[in-house]
Amino acid sequence: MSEPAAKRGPVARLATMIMNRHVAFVVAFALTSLASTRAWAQVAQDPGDAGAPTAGGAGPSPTQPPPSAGAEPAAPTQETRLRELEAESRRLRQELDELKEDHKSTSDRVDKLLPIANKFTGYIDFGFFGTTGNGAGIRNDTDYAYFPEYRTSGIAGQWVFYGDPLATMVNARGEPADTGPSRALTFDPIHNGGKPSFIVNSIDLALFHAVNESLTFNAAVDFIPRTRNVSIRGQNSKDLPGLGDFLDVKLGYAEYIVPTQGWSLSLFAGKFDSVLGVEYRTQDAPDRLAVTPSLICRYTCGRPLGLKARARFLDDRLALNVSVANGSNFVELFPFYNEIDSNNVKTVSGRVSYDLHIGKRFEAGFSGAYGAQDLQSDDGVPQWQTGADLSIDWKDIVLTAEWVHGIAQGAANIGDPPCATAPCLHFTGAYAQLGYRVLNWLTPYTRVDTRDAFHRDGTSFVYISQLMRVTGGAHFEVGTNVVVKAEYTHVQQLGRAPQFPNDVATSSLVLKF
Amino acid sequence: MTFGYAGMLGTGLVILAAACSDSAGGDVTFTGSERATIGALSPLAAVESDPTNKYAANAAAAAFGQKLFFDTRFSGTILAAGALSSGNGGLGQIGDTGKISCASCHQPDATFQDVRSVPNSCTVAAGWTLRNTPPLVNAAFYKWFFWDGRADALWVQALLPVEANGEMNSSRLHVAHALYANYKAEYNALFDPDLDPGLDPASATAKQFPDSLKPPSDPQSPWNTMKPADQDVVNRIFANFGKALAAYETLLVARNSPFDRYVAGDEAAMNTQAKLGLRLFIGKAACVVCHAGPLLSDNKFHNTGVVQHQGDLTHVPTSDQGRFAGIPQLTANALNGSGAYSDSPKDGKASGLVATDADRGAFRTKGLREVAMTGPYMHGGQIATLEDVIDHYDRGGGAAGAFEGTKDPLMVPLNLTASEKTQLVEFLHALTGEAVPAALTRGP
Repeated sequence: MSEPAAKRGPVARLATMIMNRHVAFVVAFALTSLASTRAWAQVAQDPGDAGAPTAGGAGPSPTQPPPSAGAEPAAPTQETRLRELEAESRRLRQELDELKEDHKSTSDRVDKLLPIANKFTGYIDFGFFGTTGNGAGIRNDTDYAYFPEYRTSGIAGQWVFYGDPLATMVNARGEPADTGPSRALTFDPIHNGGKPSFIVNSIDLALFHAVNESLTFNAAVDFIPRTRNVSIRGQNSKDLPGLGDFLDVKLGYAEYIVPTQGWSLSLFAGKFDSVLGVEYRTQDAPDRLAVTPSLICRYTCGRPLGLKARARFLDDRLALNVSVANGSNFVELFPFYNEIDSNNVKTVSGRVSYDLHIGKRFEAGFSGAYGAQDLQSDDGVPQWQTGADLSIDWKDIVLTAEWVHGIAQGAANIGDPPCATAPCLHFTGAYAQLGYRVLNWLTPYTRVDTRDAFHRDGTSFVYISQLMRVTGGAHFEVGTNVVVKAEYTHVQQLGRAPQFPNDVATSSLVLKF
Repeated sequence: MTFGYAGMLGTGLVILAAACSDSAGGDVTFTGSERATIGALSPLAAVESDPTNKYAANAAAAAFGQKLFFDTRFSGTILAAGALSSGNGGLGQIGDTGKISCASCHQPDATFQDVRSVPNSCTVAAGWTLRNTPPLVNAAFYKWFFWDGRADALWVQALLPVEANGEMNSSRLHVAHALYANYKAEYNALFDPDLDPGLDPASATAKQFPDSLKPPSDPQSPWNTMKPADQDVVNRIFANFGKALAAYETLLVARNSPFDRYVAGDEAAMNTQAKLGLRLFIGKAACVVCHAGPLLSDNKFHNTGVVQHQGDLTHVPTSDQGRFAGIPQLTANALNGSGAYSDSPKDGKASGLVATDADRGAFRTKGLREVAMTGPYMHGGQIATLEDVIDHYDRGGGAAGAFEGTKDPLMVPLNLTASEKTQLVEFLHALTGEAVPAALTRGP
């Protein structure tokens, strides 16, 4: 689940409880008062003699003489009536006292419960997918037919790739149907050749704990049921293969809300959400409009380890996020990710954004990151990226768009092939996603994303990725606990790479609790 | 929205995704480019002629060579290291002579390689060899011979074990005498000139050709006191001895493997796992970059980072320079393809060859036909099974320092999954061809 949702839930619930109790008390008090007032008014207005209203609309004054003898007898006398009203008043006062006591007791209990508020949430993401082709988003240029410049590079033609190994993502986790012959992206958790298949994409559990109103803990774990042999490899063939199932610790951080006036400041420590762009906010299945991530989510949706600060100014219009982390904001699946750092230089990331407060959101942001290249022991090999984003939620339109550009410089010793010591990565990518809430439970959407990247590791491999995808789908909210999504993605190769079949149809049924 | 809508939606998605997927079915198909790559690996054509051996395709020479191959009378003395001891598969006692033939270490019933020695990484003959004995089946397709390529023709290869201490521990002088004593008529019928009468111990000129088991490399050998003209006579006999053996070995070819039949159109010849392995072989694992052509060897030398000492390697030296040491041996050998005893010196490959640093620790790419039958693997027999060989390549070879020289740039981790490794092994098993005709597997 997303960080804001995790933070907001229990506090909001408790606040609602308190508010509800207050409202109940106020309503009860108001009703009681009203009843008393109405009773007194009735007394004041009670004609007693069932006579017509007096002229001028004014009721008879208490000092008016009683009705004359011989008229219809008034069963209860005025004194009797007064006694009844006094008794009613006493009863109502007693009820009011009881309500006051009840309210005080409830408030005391809520005050006691607030510091130990806990929340346990999660979801199951179940889907069905199929692809054209073999499920892989890449092909190798065995004969150097399309990229002949690598014929003399020392890289075997089998390891000259075009396409994108993540183009065939089938779920919110960004897992491709198959990584095919990929050498950079080697973890192949689905690996089914793109054949139609049901899949439990993830079973997510999230924990929230509020120590007090300022300090909270958050954690989220995905349990991933997968095929045997694909996730845990033995050291050699004699070892028994492990189960394919694995778990992914997605989040684990503490957040401290610093007491401030006129602006807000939160500090985070642990494994937290990225600070780059906006897609990371909705990357989990229940929150994501589409089924799958964009092509550039790999660069901005990671969850690095380190420290983060988030400040908001100008009535939350201006926001500044800064983090110092072990590595980049790349996702763990992509082969640039340092959960535990291997160099001395940390990665500094930041984003500044401004929300015009038009509709629910009308926000533009700029972000960037700089640090030592992931997975390199050499501190002198830099990796950086920059990006811009736009997020609009206005009336029934939901639009997000991002652009990102970055470089992992790589390194090679003199005489070695380029990028032999540290792999090189140059990338530019963008996406725009538009959704329209036709009904409160139905949001069709479309997305166009593109990626132009070059990734080389000495003579081990080179990827030349130039592609565009067009996605169309629909998002259904079935009540409050069920989300159904389905989409079709066409992948179009650009540049010199030939077109090959790797379109994806995928769906997701998210059951959340 | 009711659950009915959701159900309908789910059904629609299933149909959509199923329709999206290929309808090719479960069997493995290959692209046009892949088929072209595969087509270059089969069939195994006829052995190319060897201009340096004009007898290579001579049937009579082959028949003669077959006799020589199984004859132990050319061998020398068994040394202490090679003596039969408990369980080592040795061929005799210290001092025994005439116990070793080519077939002793190239066993016909085992793809013409050694399965006798224990441990089997190297071979026990007169002594212990320092490397794993290569099989002779399909050996004629190579351009270079021995792991280090110190022979540039098959006939050159056939001669070197004769004078190697660890192998036959004999000499060319003794071979010449043994030929004269046992095969004079057959030799003279094939080769010109005839065997020199001086090889007859009763001849007046016998002392020109002393019978000795000491090879020329031995300072005590009478060879070093012989006249050059007499040395030339013996060298020519010795070369012809090798050429006859080569003619026979040229016939040791195994064809029509399941892979060959599959390429020829028999879809059922290989199972799905083997086909998937073939896809890996030509694709992700890129084995075909070096294991190319119908022999599945590029006939080149690569440093694959084989850890020199691993497993039961009692007899494997701690260091092996491979091709770097093989080139000087080749160029120094008067009996090479470029030398005076070659039938076409211009076609020899030794001339002008100079070892460079790139040759250090490099070994000839093994042809993979029959590979499932030819373990243990690598130049020192360091790796016992095909599965372990795949693991070796999957790791990108050993760590620097565990072997001589620098690893070939192609040696990078392959990132194969366990199932992919299994598929590769399955494909390698599909490279076992039909057995060599029985008539070629026995001596006279």
